[in-house]
Amino acid sequence: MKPSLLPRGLVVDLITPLNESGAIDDEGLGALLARVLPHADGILLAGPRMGEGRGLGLQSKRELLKKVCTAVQARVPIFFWISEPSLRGTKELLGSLMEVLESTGYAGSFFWVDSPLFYHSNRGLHSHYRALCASTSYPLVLYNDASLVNLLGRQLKRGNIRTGILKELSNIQEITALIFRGSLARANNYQRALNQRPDFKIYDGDEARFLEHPSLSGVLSAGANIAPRFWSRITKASLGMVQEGEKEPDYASQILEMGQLLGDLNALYERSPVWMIKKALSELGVIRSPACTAVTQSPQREDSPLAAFISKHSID
Amino acid sequence: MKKSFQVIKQAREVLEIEAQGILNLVERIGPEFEQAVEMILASKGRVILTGMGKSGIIGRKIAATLNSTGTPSLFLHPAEAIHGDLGMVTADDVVIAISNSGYTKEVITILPTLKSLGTRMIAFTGDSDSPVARKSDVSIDVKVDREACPLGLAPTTSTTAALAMGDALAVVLVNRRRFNRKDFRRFHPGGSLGDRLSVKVKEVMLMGEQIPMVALGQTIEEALIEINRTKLGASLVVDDGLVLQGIVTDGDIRRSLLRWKDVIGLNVETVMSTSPKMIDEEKKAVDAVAVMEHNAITVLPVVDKRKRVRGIVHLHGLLGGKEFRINET
Repeated sequence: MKPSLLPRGLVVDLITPLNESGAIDDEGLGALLARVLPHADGILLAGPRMGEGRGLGLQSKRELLKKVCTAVQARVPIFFWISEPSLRGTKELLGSLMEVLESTGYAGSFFWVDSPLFYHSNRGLHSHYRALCASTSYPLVLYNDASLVNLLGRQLKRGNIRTGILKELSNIQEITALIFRGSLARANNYQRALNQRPDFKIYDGDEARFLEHPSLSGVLSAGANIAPRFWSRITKASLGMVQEGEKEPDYASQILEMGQLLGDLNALYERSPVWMIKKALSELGVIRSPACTAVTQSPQREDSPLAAFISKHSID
Repeated sequence: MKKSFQVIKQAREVLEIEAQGILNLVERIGPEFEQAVEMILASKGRVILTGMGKSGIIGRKIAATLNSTGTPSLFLHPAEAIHGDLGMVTADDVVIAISNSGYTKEVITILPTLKSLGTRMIAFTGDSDSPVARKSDVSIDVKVDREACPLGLAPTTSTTAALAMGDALAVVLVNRRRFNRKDFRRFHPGGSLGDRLSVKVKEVMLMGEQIPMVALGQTIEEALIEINRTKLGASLVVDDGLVLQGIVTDGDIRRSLLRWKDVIGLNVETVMSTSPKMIDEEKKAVDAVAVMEHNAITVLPVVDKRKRVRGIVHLHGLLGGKEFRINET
């Protein structure tokens, strides 16, 4: 396994800038990276939510990986979501992306992100991951999100990785972290299951949860696409990464206000985050178009209140 | 109703998160905890807690708990330490540095000096790879996965975890030292009256030089000197075998002065009470108080089975008006 350092902090669930034809918007991607990288501790590419990984074709994913590796140049760890609706499809995608990654000679920390229940049941996950890890030299991060599995419309018995199964999976050293969306009770159970792996990180996959009771590993943030500086500051504050001497006299009120604004922002885009954030970024001139893939549901309304909100409150 | 439901729900969440934080430590306790215990037991000095901000407050509480349970301890503020307070640390001490991040500047600053003094160091930190952990002899993992307080405004689960780990250390040290009920009372002389009076008389009586005592045949003047010296308002009178023969009080001498004018050279036997109230050393302090209250007296001789004087108790001493100490065995 290649040595990769898991970040602690803000992982940006990066949107995939597309032009109207559905191809990657190169300029937009560059501008977006320039906007978020100074504040990010990691970026997730082609994620199932913001990155529209379920709607991007193989070529787009390959292209995205190549361009981002070139642009990032090992400044922050990169995460890439590899799950496809079938086991075979997932393996093929992984193999194809491995080729791209090796061709770029990428030297930074890199992680594959996988939502196993997207294409596999809980049964037999341990042996599946043994095989999957053997086929790649990069570590893996699990992504547990029952609502994502539900999107498939299949009659799967479970949308969450069983706690006992997760405990077994944590014996595989190549699996290094978990991105989690779900109930607090399940989060607590998972934490206990992973107790024997002090190096294992659990990122909050739910911004609202993070703003309320932050996971001390960090957060996967959609809002950081439009408000990276604010999200970085809130994440550092939440993780206790701000030294006492660095705090201004009104530090607490600043953080409270900032947290409130990010919570309000989240409430504005939570129903159709991809489209709304893309729309706002296009209005801000960061990306060319709010174009989305077919899997992204467009809202009824055509306008996005985000750009006006962030301008009004000077959020960046 | 809805608002109230939210309040209760949020409160429950906080408690669940903090409880989970402690539960997660259960499985993580390992050999390093044992090393920390052995290090403290082997040290001839004190346990010095240090930490900034809320960790410092937790450090103060752990120091108080250690003191109450028989491990001499004190708190050292890291910022004060670099301005001279490091002088209170000796090579015999063990320092416990509390820093959840493990990167607290003020704590890191004092570590090299502590090291150069030869002081052994234990870290309580959430990051076993941090500078505080690496520079310590033993690092105890107090990592928590989630804070209950939003936005990091105040550490919650992490301070609870450090506090609980401190309690675990104190309790294990108690057991290792076989710290018993009597030891506890020795360190809690200001405890509740019920606690104070539940001890045996022999555990709290005044002994040795503290007992006002004259022998048969000694003068009233000598008895007065003894009464003045011990300030208990009375002196016991004993025979050669220290068997209690009587008691002479301020009142006895006052009354004799009115009767005979010049009594200073008389033998104590002429004024002493020959059937003094007394109590067996094995009786409880509460019984001694009852005897004194019933007989309207303030001192009570303590004797063994053969009525040999073993000590004396004063009513005010037992009830809190005077210094109250648990005797060494």
